Amino acid sequence: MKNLLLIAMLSLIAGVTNAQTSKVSTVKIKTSAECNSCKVRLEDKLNYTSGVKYAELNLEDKNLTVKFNTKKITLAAIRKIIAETGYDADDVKAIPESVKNLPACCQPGGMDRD
Amino acid sequence: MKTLISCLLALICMSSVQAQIKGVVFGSNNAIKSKIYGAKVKLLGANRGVITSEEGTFEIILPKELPDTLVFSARGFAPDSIVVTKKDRFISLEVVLYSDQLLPEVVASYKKGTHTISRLKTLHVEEIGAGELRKAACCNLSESFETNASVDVNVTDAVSGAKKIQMMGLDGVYTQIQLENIPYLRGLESSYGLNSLPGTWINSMQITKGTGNVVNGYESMAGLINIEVKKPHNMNRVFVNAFGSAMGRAELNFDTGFKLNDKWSSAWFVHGSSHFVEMDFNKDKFRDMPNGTNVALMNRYHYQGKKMEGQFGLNVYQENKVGGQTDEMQNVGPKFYRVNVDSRHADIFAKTGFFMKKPHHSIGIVYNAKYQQTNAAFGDRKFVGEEKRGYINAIYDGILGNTDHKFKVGLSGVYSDIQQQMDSLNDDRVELVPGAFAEYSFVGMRLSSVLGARVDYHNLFGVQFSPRVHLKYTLTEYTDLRFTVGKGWRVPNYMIDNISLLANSKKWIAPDTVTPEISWNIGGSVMQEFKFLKRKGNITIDYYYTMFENQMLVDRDVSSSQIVFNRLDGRSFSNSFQAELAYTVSKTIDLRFAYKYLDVRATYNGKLQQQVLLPKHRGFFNFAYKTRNKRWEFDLTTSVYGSSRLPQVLLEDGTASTENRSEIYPIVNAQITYNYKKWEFYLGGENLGNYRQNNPIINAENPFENTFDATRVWAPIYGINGYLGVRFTLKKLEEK
Repeated sequence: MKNLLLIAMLSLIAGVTNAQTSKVSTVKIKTSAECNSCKVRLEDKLNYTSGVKYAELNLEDKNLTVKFNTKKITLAAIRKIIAETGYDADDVKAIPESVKNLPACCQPGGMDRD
Repeated sequence: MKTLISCLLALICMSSVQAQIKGVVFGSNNAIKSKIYGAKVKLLGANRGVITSEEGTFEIILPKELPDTLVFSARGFAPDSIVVTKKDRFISLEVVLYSDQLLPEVVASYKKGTHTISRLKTLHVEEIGAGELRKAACCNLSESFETNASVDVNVTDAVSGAKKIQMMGLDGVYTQIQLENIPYLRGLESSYGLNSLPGTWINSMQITKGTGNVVNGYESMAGLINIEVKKPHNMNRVFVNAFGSAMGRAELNFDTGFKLNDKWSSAWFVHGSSHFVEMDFNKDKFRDMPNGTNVALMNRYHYQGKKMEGQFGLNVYQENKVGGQTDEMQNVGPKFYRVNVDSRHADIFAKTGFFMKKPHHSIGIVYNAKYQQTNAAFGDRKFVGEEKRGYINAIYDGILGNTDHKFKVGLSGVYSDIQQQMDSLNDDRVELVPGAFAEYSFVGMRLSSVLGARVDYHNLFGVQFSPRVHLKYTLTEYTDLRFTVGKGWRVPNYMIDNISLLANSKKWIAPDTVTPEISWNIGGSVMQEFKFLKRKGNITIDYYYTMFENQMLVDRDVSSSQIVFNRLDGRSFSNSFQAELAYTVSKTIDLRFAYKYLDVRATYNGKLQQQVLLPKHRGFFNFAYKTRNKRWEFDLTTSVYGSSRLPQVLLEDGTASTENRSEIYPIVNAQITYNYKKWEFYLGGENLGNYRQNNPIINAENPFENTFDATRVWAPIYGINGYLGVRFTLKKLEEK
């Protein structure tokens, strides 16, 4: 019990120190996200991607803030993941097949239609 | 106290600077009123817009040119607009957007979020969402209140594992607990009922302090707790939870929701738990917790038609617990002290809502039938109880002119056939209580009010009239004042309400007659939102006074060898003060502090005295940390309980106890959760300070002697406990 707790704490500390020594970069990526469902999709996808520290989408300006380890993943690769999820990422366009699979409110212009 | 008030005043002054408008946008869809995230709020003239936050809130700065039109739009809802004028600066708006179908409020009731006090409701309602519920990993309703300061959960005896809630220092029987607006844990389930509702079934809870609204009955005296279970049409497809604790408890939960066709959806809930390892940490040869099993099942349906909406369900539950002396004592001594508690129930409910041709008008009818049994044996002392209950409540919902003026009128009927038997005492009763109620609510720019009254005719006790008033005044955009006054009443069941008091050898002196308990509750609260170092926080201060006109008192002061049930002769009241501070330190850290003062006194043995086993002071602290990638969650809750008066008892040697105050003690609980895609793993510890009451049972060696007493319990019986669990979720598919 106590050991498990200790391991959990240590691994967290290790994670933090690791972040300090390796190269970390924080970028803002303009996406085509429309609604909360998009936010959940994008954040879930990236937060469970190796090399990504965290991803947070601001629906107001559609900017996705991503903090990542540049030794493990590149910005281009992150944009590609976003495009594969069904959204534009800066200049990289969304993959059309993925867009088809998104729910109605995530479709381009989904929030403007009635 | 004084500094607190001046702080508040400073905050109030600080906050009113910019001309802006604030509010929350709700969407009403399929009977669900939920906050809309990402709804567009636009000022037409100024051509300026914002998007609502995760809590559905928005803030928009008003232009100089007023009036202007504020337009609200969100996908799936009909857009709506209001005209804002200069007068509307600094106000809070509640905006509800409706989908194509309009639905009656009686069926509506679902909300999201973790722990918030709604700023919009006229009543002081604390909302506990799924996020908060997950912080207490286990197991049933009683644990769900662990991270909450308003509701206390107490162990009432050291042998049967009975747990009861308390609000405002008053016994749980004075708080009306309802399941989706149907009175639920009452009658025979007042003492062991909390176990019958597994925590994983719960979607959200709403805690109202003071008398609730009149629509759902007359029994909310100190408070009202409404519990919403997951609904078939919006719950996850599959949810599985497995749990195991170091104390020898294992639990399995499964639920699934699915669509049957366009109109019907269905859900199944299964819960099984077992406590199979005998634990005796304090070596008193008594089980610290009873062993036993608990099985609960529920099947429910949701119907969504054009003119009608319906919910139907069935739930069954069975629990048996065996406590008392440990197995090794079976062949030692002449007699073996065991505690057996068996409870079961079967419950059917239906809710139907019909929409009238006139918009915003509807009729809702709630039906419920329940059969329940509780049998308990404490050594040689036995209790047998059986109850049949029927309930119907019909509500007509409408508006007067516009949606600022709403009303509800209706009729209700309660049938209850309750039989209780204990030692040589009997308490059988058939109740028939028809009732009528009316409620008017007004939502203004600053002042909102709910005025209600109900009249009930009890076949045994006659007519009871219960008026209730709730007011809310928005002082500034960051400050809400609330006021409530109301009457509540109930018919006591002195046996089952106090069944834990069988865990001793004291003789029960039955009351001459049973009469309804009647109380008045008056109180108010101030809620202040503030920003400190750019982070949001809020302070809530509330005070309530409850006065009993009539009460069934449990008097343990008359004699150390008797428990006397008496009609209140003198005074009985509760003063409850609570201050709570919630502050978001950073994007990832939330803190909550609370302090509670309880002054609960009544005339016991002819003298006005503090209620026994109730700490006057209580402190509460909650720390929650969630990493920005949402993978890790850490949660820590500490409660400190002050000293309380203990009943005087006879010790082993026959002398009266001299130490009749309890110690001050802390309880520390912590939990770590790791989320990975569909999986969640959690690891937690309870009572990490390892605080235990030294001798919860008096004369444990001789449970059949006069001085045996397992009811003087004021602290945990078992020490530190660790647990481990996993959750698996398949989310609901989103509509294309």
